[in-house]
Amino acid sequence: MSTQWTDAALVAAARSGSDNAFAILVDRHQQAVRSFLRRVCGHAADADDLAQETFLAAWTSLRTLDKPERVRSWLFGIAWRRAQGMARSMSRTRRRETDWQGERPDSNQPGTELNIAMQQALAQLPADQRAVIALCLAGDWSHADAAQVLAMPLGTVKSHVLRGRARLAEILGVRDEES
Amino acid sequence: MRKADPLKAFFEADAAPAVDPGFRMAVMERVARRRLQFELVRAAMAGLAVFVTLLLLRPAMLSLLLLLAGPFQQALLVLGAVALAAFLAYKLATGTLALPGWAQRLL
Repeated sequence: MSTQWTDAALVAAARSGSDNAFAILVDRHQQAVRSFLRRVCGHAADADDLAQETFLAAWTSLRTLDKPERVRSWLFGIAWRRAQGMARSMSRTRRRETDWQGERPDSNQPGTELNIAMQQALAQLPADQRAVIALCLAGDWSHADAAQVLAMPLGTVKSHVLRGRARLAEILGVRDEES
Repeated sequence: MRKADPLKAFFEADAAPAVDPGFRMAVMERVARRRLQFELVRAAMAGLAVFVTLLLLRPAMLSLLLLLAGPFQQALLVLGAVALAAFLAYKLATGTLALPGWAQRLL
């Protein structure tokens, strides 16, 4: 099966039972989904686990996808809801466990200075703001698309972008003329 | 021309790998496992449906059997014997039924 197939064609093939088509969809969107979740969760192993769950949930409910050409937005919507769910459950279970430990260091990923700095900077932002930053600044999504995926009002997204950008620039010591 | 975004370098350094075959394999493995679960549930539901149907039809089937048992007793016996012989012959011919030692010696 050609990798030149459109997302809509791959979704149609996957719906009719083609594992190969679904594997191509996974290959095509894994970097975007995993990067988004890494920025939202702040921990690569948890993020990758969530990304796997996202694709699994997508496979399970592939028939409910209304617009197959917008499969990426749909995947991000699932990923965001899963990340919120995980954040809620982790805040309950880890509060007791990590009170004395502090934040868990990401030991699985040998990071460059830049990505360690970015992870630490993102960790200081609220989750909603991180998600908006991950889509609009890192992923070049439009504010309207981000608002739709994250189910937030457009004004909130715009304000998160402005404030988040300024805060990141401040933490990273970057001179940012746009903020 | 638009100025380069100073935060862009940080985001690029933070991105996940473009294509990770290990990740794809892990996802497809979970998909296969989920599919197996669905199939097991479907088979269990079908089995349950057949069981319940037979249970509901049991009184009617019993009375039908008793009704037919008298006039068709001989015919049913012959049909049963023929079916058993055909089944055993098929098993022997395809080698899926191992004969006991004494029977093999006789043959």
